[in-house]
Amino acid sequence: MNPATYPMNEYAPSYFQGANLAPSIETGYDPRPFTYLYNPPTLFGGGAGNTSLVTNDSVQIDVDSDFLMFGWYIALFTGAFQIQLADSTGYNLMSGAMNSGALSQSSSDPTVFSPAHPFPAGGRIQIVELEDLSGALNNTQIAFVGVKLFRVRRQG
Amino acid sequence: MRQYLYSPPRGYYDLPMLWSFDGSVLTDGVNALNQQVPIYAGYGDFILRRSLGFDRVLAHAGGFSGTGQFQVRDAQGRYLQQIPQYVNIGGPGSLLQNAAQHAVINELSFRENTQIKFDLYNVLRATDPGGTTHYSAQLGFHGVRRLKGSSPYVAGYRYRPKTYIYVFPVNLQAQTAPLTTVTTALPIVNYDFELWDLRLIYEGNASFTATGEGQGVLTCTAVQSGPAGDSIEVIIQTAVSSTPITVSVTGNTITVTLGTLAPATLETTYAVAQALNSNPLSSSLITSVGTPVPPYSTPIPSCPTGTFPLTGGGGALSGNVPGALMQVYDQNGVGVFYSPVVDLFVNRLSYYLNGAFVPPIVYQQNTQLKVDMQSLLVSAATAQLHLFGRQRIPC
Repeated sequence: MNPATYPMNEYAPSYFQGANLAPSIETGYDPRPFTYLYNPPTLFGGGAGNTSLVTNDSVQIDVDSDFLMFGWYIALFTGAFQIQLADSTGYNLMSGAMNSGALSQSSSDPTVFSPAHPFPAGGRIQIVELEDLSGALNNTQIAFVGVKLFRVRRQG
Repeated sequence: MRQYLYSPPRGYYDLPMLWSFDGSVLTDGVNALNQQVPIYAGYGDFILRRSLGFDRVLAHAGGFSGTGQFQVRDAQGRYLQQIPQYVNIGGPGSLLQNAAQHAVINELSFRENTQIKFDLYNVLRATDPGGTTHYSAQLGFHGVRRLKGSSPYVAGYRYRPKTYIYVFPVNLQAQTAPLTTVTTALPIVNYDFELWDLRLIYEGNASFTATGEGQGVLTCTAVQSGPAGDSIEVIIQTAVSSTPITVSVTGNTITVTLGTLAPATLETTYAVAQALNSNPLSSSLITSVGTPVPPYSTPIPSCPTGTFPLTGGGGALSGNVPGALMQVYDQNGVGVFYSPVVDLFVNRLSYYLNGAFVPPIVYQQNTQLKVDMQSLLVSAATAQLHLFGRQRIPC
């Protein structure tokens, strides 16, 4: 064993322990931390013809790299809502809309996708539905946390 | 499931490191773009694993328009967030569930002589407990620094680790301008010690509150924080003859005899508090506050009588309020943080919830574990440092 290997610090959160990665020249990818953010239109809680529902919206994945989505959390919200996601192929990541109360609000402890879900370069994180449940003005921002997978030349 | 422990590349070792950004120099209400924390040469490459403190330099009052945003770049200048991200206070939830700190997964490497660059939108600096300064408005970039050589964690002998916690007090005075550094050196005795986690508690002051007629309230608080204040008691007795208010102190017992010369004013809690505060012996033990007498009030807020022991000394104050800037040194006297950081960042009991040292720091027998603290407190208090770790018992 490498003498400089860390012991497992049980007082530390798991992300703080360091994560061993296979060398890029073996995997063909160079992973870099990245967060895609979804800023939906402001939801006005319905009533008087105002928007309380957003359908078929999306977050565009950059064309420079694939994206491996580890998890998500609510970066900002002012009231309860429900949301349903799908990937670029139309695969629904959930059977129905998920209540915001079941979502993490913490970057250091996001709600994870297990296994992590891949999105190809130029693809989209599809927001099938986002609906306000608060009945009032609701501003939200949702963070999709993962790594950008930059392709590198594999060792022959 | 098999756990794969983290290893730096062969020939290198890691030490815990926190680079901080002093947000007190920023201006409230404006955007601060292209800010940076330089990774100075000599410390080794920096591996970033969490960034924190955005809530301490950005507005986060809630709502959309009033909330600050940030965007951080990697060493090559590429943003880590697609667009500026709102600093989160957990929406309708509490600050305890926030995104004021950000896990950087897997991790991010910054070579020496590069910078951690970031943009801040809608700056609002956190205010220190005193209400006028902003020393605790900091950003922290926490991870490890990577150096060439063999790890100091490796022991040259066989040992059996046993859990151990060093607990020691640090007496802090109220904040001064400029900040005063209190250095505490803890001798590491008997066995080599591995430092794994830090927990810091500020001890509360013992006190009592008594209510008399007319909503007269008398509150007495021990000058010295901690359990020592629990040994103080205040006896308030009615006058036996026509006298002004008198205060006498015997040991930790303070006796107040109410006056009778002009009862309408001398028996008020306000008058008693003034008498207690003006007596040098009494005021060295307690600080007193009484209800001011409004003009023409009826009934007069009079002082209760009886024996009132002070209680509650040593109870932990909230870990979510910054109490000091602190620096921890390794056995060679090298700071674990680049500069003193606000205690919230490295205190397991604060809302950042992480006081771990990864990898642990080793202090050999007969060395010192030195901690510097610069008080941000409004009044003097005792801080109890709890250093969790392991002793290496040779076998």
